[in-house]
Amino acid sequence: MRRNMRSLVFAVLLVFVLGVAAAAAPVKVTFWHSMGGDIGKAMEAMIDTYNASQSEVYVESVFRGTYPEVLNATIASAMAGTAPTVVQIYEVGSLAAIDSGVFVPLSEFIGPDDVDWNDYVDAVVNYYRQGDIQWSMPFNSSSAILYINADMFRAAGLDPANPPKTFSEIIEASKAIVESGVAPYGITWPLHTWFVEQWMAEQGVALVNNDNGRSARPTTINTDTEEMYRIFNWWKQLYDEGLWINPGVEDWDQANALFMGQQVAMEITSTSDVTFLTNAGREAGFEVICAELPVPDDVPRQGVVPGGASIWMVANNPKEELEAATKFLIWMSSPEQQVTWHQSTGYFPIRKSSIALLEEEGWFTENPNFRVALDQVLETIPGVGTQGALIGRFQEVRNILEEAFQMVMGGTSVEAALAQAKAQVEQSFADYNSLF
Amino acid sequence: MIDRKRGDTNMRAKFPGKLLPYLFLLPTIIVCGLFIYYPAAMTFRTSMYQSLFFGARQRFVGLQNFTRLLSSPAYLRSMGITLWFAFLVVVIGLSVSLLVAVLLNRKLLAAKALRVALVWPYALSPAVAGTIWLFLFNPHSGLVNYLLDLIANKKPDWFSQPGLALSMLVVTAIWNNFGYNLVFFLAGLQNIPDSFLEAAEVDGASFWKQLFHVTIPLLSPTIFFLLVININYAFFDTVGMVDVMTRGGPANATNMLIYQLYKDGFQNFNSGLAAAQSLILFVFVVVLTLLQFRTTGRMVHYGG
Repeated sequence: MRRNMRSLVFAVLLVFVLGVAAAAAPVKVTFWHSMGGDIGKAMEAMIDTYNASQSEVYVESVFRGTYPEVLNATIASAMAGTAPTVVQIYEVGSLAAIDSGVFVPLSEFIGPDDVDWNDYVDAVVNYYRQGDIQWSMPFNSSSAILYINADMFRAAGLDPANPPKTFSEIIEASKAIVESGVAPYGITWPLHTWFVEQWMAEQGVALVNNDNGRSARPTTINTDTEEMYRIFNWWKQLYDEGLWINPGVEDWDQANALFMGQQVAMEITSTSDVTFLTNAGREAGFEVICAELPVPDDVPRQGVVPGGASIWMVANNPKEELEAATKFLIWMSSPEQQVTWHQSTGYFPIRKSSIALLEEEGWFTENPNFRVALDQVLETIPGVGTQGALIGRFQEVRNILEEAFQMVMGGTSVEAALAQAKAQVEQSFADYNSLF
Repeated sequence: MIDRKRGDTNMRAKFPGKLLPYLFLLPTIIVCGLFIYYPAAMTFRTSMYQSLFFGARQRFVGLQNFTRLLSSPAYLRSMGITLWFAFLVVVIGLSVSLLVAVLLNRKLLAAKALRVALVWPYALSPAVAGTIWLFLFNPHSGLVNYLLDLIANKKPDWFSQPGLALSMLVVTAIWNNFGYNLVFFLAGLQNIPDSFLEAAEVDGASFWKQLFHVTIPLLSPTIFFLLVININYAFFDTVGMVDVMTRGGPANATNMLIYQLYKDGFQNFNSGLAAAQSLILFVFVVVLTLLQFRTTGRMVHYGG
């Protein structure tokens, strides 16, 4: 009898302990992302904060390389049944992500009262929305801006408070810098199609047809247009006259290295580097001033495409894991976290209330460089051009245009290089569309 | 005698049926089938499809992928570049490593330490080797241009000029595989009896005469082996290097066949086209290797 009692007590205890353990064990959510370097550390810090703040969800984050690599690895692993729960996908991977059938729309897990979509910056949230379907949670958004080495500007007799605003002003400023011997080159930016996309948007025109791929999958690209010629001819002139230095194809780090090493007095790159470059300049003993992206002469500024990435949920996962992931995503895009994220990187806050919080704090008065990055997005006029293109094989289009500019650098005419690019892109689109 | 013979026949195991040998072969058949023949068969199949997202969507197109590739000027150009690159890497790489191996094989001070130091680069993956040389070739802060500036007052932009970009990759590729070649050459050299070289020296043969008339003929099996290995290296293993250093640029001047395959398969979600390319590469390398066995292979002297 006593033995029986003892086993009963033991059994009850066991059930109790296991029950508590089951209730306390957090649901594990795996998260693949592309945030390396200082930005990666900022993201890891946020995730650590989240894990420490509650006990229901545990997020395990993995850095999986560049944006194209993460998208590719996710689709491959989803086919093999080993995909993570949530993934950071870059904005131009959106159509590929949708078409791959690997992801489940976020709106299936978010009830009407869970999130106040009206508080999200419209341009950003619209990018990831198709009709009523909200595909993913916006997280990091950026655009292209001009960084100026103010000390070099002054040394070259230029006024950093009055930065170049147009293509021809960039040429003039670059000439002044090179001729005065302040730096060997005037300006740099990565040899990346992203900038071409931004300059098409600034002119208010679509990159591809079918309303930038929003009304139907695109069939051709607008490379044989006045707007595209303007961009390429200006870029070619800068290169031919030794004013722009090539940091390499899609090589963000090398472009930053040239700017920090004072080989150039200006750099165009993502707003996500505001913190990094401003601090790097301070350490190297020069002042960094940010200005809006320069635009073609005599063209009214339309604004930029919200670049960056959003977080997607992989369909083939247990329901409770996806529900836990939803909580994590809501937290990551919450106004307070977006403030932290903005202050530690330069990605602009995607919540209207974050902007209000920052203004209250006096953040923008103290850090005017961050203001520029934000204003450029808030001033963007919604339109077919500034909404950005939806393309399935976007990376291929980027590669083709990057090749086209390299051909121009090698002596091919702008018209010929872009005509060849158009033919290649049309072939790629036709192949892609034939599968739907 | 008779007993033992009988014992032999008795002891030889007799197994019922003809299936048993296959049972013993089964593990090998399963492993090869799963990891070699099945993927190869899938590659053949995929090459006949227009496909997206690793086959999530596909459409049968017959030989279209092949006809498109073989009629594309860009692809044929890439083929030419790959052949030229492989030729340079193999010829220069093997010559230099043979020469260094011969020098290292002499009775040198600290020869062993030198050998270790020279074999070291092989321990690095092509992507890491690419990163190291990326720094060295940096037009503004790299060591290469620093030295060139001192010597010739020149600072070429290695990344914007087609010829320079390719030669940069050739140097990196040779450096990376140098240790591997060196190990095999040293092993081969140590199998050559000293008496041969001493006899040649007594007969008054110069260093170069000894090299060409004694060492190289006796090393021919090693050279032939390394030739095959190095061609495969140049064709297949350099993809990481290209990705890190040039991404196939400028204007596709360093776009090797294997890098184009990588881009189509893993960036453009075009598995069908990538599969077709891998088959073309496969045929290419098989033909090259067969040609070698037919030509160079005949000149190999295995001794005995």
